[in-house]
Amino acid sequence: MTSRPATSWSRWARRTAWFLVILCVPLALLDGPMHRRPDFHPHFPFERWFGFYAGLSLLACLVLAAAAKIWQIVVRRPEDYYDV
Amino acid sequence: MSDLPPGLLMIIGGLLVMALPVRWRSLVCVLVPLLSAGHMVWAIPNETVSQWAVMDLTLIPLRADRLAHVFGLIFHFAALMATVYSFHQRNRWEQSMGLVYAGSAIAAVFAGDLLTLFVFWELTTLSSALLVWAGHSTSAYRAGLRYLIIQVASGVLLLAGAIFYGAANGTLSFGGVGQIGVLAHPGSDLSALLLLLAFGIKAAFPLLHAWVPDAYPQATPGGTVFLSVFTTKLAIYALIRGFAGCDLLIPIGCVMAIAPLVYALIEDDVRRALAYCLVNQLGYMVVATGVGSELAVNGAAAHAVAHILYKGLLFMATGAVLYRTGTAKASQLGGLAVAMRWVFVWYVLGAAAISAPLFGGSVTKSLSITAVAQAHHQAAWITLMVATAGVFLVCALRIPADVFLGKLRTEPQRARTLPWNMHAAMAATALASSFVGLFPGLLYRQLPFPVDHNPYTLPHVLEQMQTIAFAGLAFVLLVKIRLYPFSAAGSLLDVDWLYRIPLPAAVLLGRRWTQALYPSLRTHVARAATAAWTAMGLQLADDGRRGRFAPTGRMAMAATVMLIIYLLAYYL
Repeated sequence: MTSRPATSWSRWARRTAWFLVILCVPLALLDGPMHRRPDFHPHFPFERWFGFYAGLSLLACLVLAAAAKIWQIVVRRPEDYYDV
Repeated sequence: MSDLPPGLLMIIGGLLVMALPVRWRSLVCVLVPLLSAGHMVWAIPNETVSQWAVMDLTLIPLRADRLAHVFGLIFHFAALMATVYSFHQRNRWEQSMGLVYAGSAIAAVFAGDLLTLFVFWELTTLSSALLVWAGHSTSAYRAGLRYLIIQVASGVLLLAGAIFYGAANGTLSFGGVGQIGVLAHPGSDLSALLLLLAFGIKAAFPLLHAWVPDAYPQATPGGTVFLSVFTTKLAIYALIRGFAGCDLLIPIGCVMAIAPLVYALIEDDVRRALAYCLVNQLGYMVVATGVGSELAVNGAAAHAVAHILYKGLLFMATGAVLYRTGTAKASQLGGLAVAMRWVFVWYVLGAAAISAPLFGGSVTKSLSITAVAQAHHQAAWITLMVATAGVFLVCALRIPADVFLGKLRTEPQRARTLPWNMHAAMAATALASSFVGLFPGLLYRQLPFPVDHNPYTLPHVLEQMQTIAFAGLAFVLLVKIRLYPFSAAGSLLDVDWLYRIPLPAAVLLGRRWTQALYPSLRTHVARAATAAWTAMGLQLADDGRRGRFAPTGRMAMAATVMLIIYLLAYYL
């Protein structure tokens, strides 16, 4: 139950981040052999693009986060906005 | 016993709990869902229908089929988990209303006609409003009132739709055994449109959704777990029964899947952020319902099951954080992974269940997404894929990073250690959710239609792994470019702003105007009345124009003329 210093978290976080980056490369590269498998049944032509799922996910998150940050400027109010 | 609709036992049990002494209440609360589940499983076989003739109406209080049973089963399990989670509760109203709420949702699922559906629909409304009020704060009271008004509006629309439907079709039946999509073409008549709106309010359709993030975070930790399960999934059930295959639902569901994510990313209150994610997951079910194929309906029902499990788990874990720290605001939380390490584990299991392979959500989402692809709804498919990545970013990365990682901001109170029952409920729910993921066949076998789908082909698994890994990569990038933390202290404006600021202001303005106009209006009216009274007195006085005696002949003449006019009017 002892709380560790904050720095250990940031080091842990940095390691996780690097691990994730390293994990992403082979995951994306696996698209090549996967598209030749017989049980790969794309319903749309763009599913055959190399790295489609990876790219879509990455792009989706970045765009959503950017959109959210812009929307925040419009809709954010002080915490007691409705109380007064 | 086989005529008794499932859920009724739970409602009776809930009312009974109200009268029990405090030391028996929690135990009875846990036993009642078990008893009721036993009754449903053993006494109500598939294709049971019971009818009840009242006056000219034939009511069907019980229509059991596979679709109703799936929802009945998961509702019972959720009720059990929620009662275990609130086992330490000593609030009479909350304990009692939790059971009544769950019971009426179950009874509504088994209701075979629109009138019975309406009765239980309204009962869920009343009992859940009391759950919101059990939050015991001014803001909970106000949010509960807003919630009640909106939910009652849904009930009124349902009743109006039922009346029009009954008048047009001569029956109130809401689908027989195994029938789905019985009203699937709204616009063709008014009743279907009214019913779609009624279901749409409870299913949190776009612009009708604000009550979810408004009311749910106001309840107690246990109350929110109850709330997160029943109302919206009851609405999903009603949509499947009434509107499966209705094309209109596809764009509606797409908006529901994306728009709330923007709010969920920047909302400071993590329980409210989860409520937004709840709407996002409802979007999947609504899209699948709109597609309406057998696979899609299976997907919607299965996703409701998995979603109840993992969203319940996430609400339980954040509720535990609220219980110990006294806040659920991301801006005041952080670094709790050490002090509350088990809660962190339960949360991560719940978050993994959203889309990681081997957990509940992935095997059910895969059904809906495949169904959408098979129906060649390209835009809807891409929307759902984007939403899958987005919801992972919110629930599995942003919220845990805010609450459990980083700097410790609010120390958990040592005096308020988590009761064992909260851990038990979270562990059991996590186990159930993982169980669904590990043995999808068990859930698939319960679904309304036969399932021929393998969620664990290599391409499927790779697609899911890529989606979540690259969502993680995006998160790392977002941290790197300092866009994270997304949320900041403050409240966000949503549609509820319309009826919280401009509407009361308009009412106030109207009142001021009438108040300002009233004195001068009153003098005018009083003066006119006095003048009329005086004039009348003058006319009717003994020597006034009308007060004088007239000859009998003139009276007879007047009576005759009047009779002739009357006769003519009658024949015309």
